[in-house]
Amino acid sequence: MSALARIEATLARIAERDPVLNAFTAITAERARARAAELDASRAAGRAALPLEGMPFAVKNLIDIAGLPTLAGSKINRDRAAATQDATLITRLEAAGAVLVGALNMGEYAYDFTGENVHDGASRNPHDHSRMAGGSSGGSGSAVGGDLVPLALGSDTNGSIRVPSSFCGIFGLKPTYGRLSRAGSFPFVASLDHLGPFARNVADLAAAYDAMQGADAGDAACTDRAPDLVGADLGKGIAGLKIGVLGGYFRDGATAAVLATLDHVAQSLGATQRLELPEAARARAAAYVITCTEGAALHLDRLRTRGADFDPAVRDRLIAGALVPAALVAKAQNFRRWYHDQVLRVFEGVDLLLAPATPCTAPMLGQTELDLGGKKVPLRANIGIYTQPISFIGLPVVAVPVTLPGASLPVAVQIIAAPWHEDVALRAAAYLEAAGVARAPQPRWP
Amino acid sequence: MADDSLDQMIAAGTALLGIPVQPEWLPAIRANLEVSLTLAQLVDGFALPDEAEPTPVYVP
Amino acid sequence: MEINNPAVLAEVEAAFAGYEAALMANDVDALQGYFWQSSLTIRYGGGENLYGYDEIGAFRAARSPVGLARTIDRTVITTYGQDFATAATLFYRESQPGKIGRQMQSWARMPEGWRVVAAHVSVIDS
Repeated sequence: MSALARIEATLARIAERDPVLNAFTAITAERARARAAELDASRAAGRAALPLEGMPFAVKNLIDIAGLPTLAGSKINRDRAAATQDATLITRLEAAGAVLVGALNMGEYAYDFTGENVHDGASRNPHDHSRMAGGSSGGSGSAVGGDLVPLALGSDTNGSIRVPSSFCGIFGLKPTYGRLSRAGSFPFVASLDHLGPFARNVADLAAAYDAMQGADAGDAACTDRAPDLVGADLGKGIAGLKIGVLGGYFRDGATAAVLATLDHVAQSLGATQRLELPEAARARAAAYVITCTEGAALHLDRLRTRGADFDPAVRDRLIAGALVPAALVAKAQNFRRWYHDQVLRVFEGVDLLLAPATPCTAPMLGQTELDLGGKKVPLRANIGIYTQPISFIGLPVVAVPVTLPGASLPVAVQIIAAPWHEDVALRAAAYLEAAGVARAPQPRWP
Repeated sequence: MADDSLDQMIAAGTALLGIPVQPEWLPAIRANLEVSLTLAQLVDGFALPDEAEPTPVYVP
Repeated sequence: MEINNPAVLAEVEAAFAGYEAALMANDVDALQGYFWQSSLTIRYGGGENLYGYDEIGAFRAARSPVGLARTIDRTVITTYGQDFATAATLFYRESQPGKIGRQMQSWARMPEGWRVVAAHVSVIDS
């Protein structure tokens, strides 16, 4: 199939389904057709196929696309000047042959776990249109989960790649902090922001990840480490890997279905060792404090001049964040180093850790409470309880989608590796996929 | 923390920072501040030695 | 300006098909999704004149799903350049024998995708 034909089919599918899913906020059709035609022409002239030849992809709208204002899910950013160039990760994916088709919806300024947006509307769960896609990369989850595109980029500060992966039933990679360049993206929390890919299978996820790796002077946090390419290692299997299952904090507050899913994955990987991370609850608290305070600092001028134009749910958290005493934030950063050292000690005894990505399957749109075995807890505050203590110290995570027999909705498990060991996590994900345990289910349509 | 202490904190802090606050926003700001401070106190409650270093280390 | 560029036509045909499916399911949220979210969007319906996305949404929400099933006929979709299209179709309902329905839509390509910006639905004797 020519790249152009593939792009046409993609654009037609988006035109048909996206008004329902509401994953996209902009569709770069002319650019996509032009790029696809170029690819076809150079292929016909004898160029060898590129790793992602003709693969359509879309990006969360906090990622710069040349010619568009970078919205970051907000109304305020609509007034920004258009980006003058693409983000580094877009340039790298296109250099590998992929074709950008548009920008994706997200929770305002990434301070969100639901994928709902008061300005652009909620992105819908492709398996049940009355349910959340999850956030803040809601459009990414919906677009890939809904099979509109095979590949999308999102961001993850406290769970915003892993939560939509779970609710929408797709593979998501939050790499090691500093692994992938953030140059050309609108930030949220510099201490915690990661960019990463979503895909419907591990091979595509890994291929996109490999294409995007590499140093970038444009991002102060980006590592100078040479790329650790994973593609060739995907099929190595799990023999010899020590895999532990996180208990304690990481089982508290999960539904029975989520725990059953975690245990099923653990059993498939032969993981019997149960472990706990010290002070995980405190780690989550510290991540929360760093998030609301750095987020407030970023938005201070906007809070001063455009308060009424924010999503109220975001604004009121940011204003509160601006008031947290600085001494407590400094303590959170000190605690972070202690926790980092403790967790790396755990990784001296294991290669991988498993935990749920979310405490539940996708809630209904607009839902505000979560029912945990009869006990009602606030929903938004609790969606990220299992993701936050992991991203807090920048560990690489692959979220793998699992649908238990008889279940109507998927949910993801986090496969967590030591820093810079994305390869080990991806190997385990590939193993689970080959065994039929992890799979991105076909979306419901209509 | 008592409601009026929080309200005083909000009034003084937002005035200092120059953030205009509509009265109808106050209940939500108060609720969020309570959450943030509770979590910050959880972090504060952990005994770290004086020698503890912050995570980011400046390299000149 | 190119009429019926194949790529553009395919996109609008797909959107039209999606709209028809949503109509048959009376999926109110999906139907609203296909309309442009603006006060400038206008829908003259079979028995009502609706100005703006919100009025259209209110009508959809209040509408009974009974008797919406229909057969469409002589659907003509035409695209003008890259960003505009018209979609005209006749329709027949078993609940309205001896009548022909007409649906005319103007579609425009917005940043978020193809959206109906103006629509007119009416019924005449066959």
